[in-house]
Amino acid sequence: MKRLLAVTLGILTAIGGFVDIGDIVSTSEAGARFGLSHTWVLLVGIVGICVYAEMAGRVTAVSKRPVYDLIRERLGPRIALVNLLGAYAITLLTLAAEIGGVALALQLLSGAPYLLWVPAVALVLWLALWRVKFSTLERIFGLAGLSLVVLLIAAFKLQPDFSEMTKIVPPPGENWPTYFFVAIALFASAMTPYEVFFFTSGGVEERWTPRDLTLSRVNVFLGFPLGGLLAFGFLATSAAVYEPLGMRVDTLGQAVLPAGLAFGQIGLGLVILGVFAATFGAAMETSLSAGYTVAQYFGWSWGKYLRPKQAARFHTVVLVSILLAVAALLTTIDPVQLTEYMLIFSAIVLPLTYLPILVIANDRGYLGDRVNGRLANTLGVIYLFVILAAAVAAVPIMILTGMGG
Amino acid sequence: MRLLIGFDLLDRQIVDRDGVPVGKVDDVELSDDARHVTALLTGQSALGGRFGGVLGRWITATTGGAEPRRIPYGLVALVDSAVHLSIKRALLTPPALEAWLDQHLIGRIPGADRAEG
Amino acid sequence: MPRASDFLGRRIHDEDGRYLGRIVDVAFEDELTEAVVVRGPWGRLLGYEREQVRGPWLVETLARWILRREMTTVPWDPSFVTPDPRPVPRDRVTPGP
Repeated sequence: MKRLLAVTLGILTAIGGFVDIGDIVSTSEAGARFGLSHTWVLLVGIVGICVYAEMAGRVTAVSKRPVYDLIRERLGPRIALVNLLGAYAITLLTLAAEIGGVALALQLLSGAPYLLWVPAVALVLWLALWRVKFSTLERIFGLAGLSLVVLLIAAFKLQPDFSEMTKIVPPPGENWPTYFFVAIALFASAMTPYEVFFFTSGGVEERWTPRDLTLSRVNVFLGFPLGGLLAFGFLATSAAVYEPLGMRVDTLGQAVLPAGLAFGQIGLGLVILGVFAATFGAAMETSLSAGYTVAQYFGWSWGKYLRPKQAARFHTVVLVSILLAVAALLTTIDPVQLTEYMLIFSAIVLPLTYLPILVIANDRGYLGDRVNGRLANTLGVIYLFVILAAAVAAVPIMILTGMGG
Repeated sequence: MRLLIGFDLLDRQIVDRDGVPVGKVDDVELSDDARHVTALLTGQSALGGRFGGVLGRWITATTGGAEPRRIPYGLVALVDSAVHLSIKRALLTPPALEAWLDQHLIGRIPGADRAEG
Repeated sequence: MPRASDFLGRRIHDEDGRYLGRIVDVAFEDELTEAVVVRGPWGRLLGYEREQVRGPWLVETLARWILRREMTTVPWDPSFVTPDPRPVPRDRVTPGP
């Protein structure tokens, strides 16, 4: 059991990357419009985040430094500041979306409008981060998020057109630019940078040493594929139900409905529990990441393993970020749409995050003989090119398609 | 051991003897004859000095005009992926912003003195 | 007291007034020994100026190719330091005696 619990860091991190509120709705929308023809993107994303999270975890276990700590050291304070501003923007937008997402999940359960839930959710979130142990949070939300597995079973019951999985073309009636826009958005969110910041800071919170290298790898190679599989659950159930009807998906309610069609009340209940845990987990991941990145850029003391008094600046950043997120939501902006703007910042932040990780993972001064092998380097370089291509294409294609219109 | 001021010191994390973060090496101080390294400077005012311009002044301003903290180079025990000091963090003056936030905000919230592990 | 930021990025010239480049780093052991000087737009390149960083092949080759063409070292000279606050930069600087 203890061994099983040791991988919840990876599961929680992956859930924040693959099935946060923005992903749940946009992946379901991809399924409704393009069927399973984006399955390859999820695969490419899973392999990519595994390659870089493994490197980052190895760097952290051996050097005992979270990767964000090392980014400024390699890029210098100016470029690292650009990275910090972009990364913070992504993290804050996602945090606001997740708080809204938890509130939307509560709206589905209670019927009360989500805006009423927002302040309560933010308060509970902050209290959890203030009072509860890191490993406890990680276990509760990592494991509860797994109830989304019901979607995979539902997918087999609802039987979408699985033959589309091998087709890398938009279905009739949809055009290539939109198809690519959705592909880039799915890829960017699979590789979203706060995953590696959170994962490696979590490793430091759990006091990883070089002996925990295997633990880090198990977390990576179980957690991220699992997260990707849950995303596939949303893609497949939505493809099965909505694609034949030619319907669009743009709300959380529509995204969870297919599970209800497959397994009735129980299915719906499980999937809403899963969405609640996943979005709350992602809210924790992003609010902590906001604190981690700012504190690690400036060199402040950080982390839940210290008494809050010893890391006052870190806790202030977390608190202020949550308040900013609430303020953004109270303008009644649609929380789901918030995450769509992330792509602009991802185009800047993704290359500036993964290049230094790749370089440091080759530095014998830090890693001794644990530097990258040939496989990690080959995949690392290939993915660097994929990331660069996606980054260059992201903004033009965003404008061209009117954000996937 | 031959070290590079820019690569091995600047922008590297300083940690105390227990590994607790102390600050980043935001600048390095030399002796008056510019032949020896005498101290590490840490704090946003030192970082702002390196940026220069409006941005630099703005970063400096976040400290409320506090001088950077000066850590004598003799306290450096080891330089690897971090700069390790030979003393505990508590023996150094706490950063002004940290102390202010502790006193006026974080320290006033119940539970601020409890470690969560 | 002089600071690293008082000489990093500074343009230096040799005795004949030929432009050597910008100081991007300074090595020290007990005393400061030599300055790493780079001509052209690149500064420190991700740590590839050190031997310990190897690979990935493509990134390393690119970084080293840029560095080899551009990077030299010159013995450290305290006159490289511009005292703080910086005076108006002279267009030509000769190292002092």
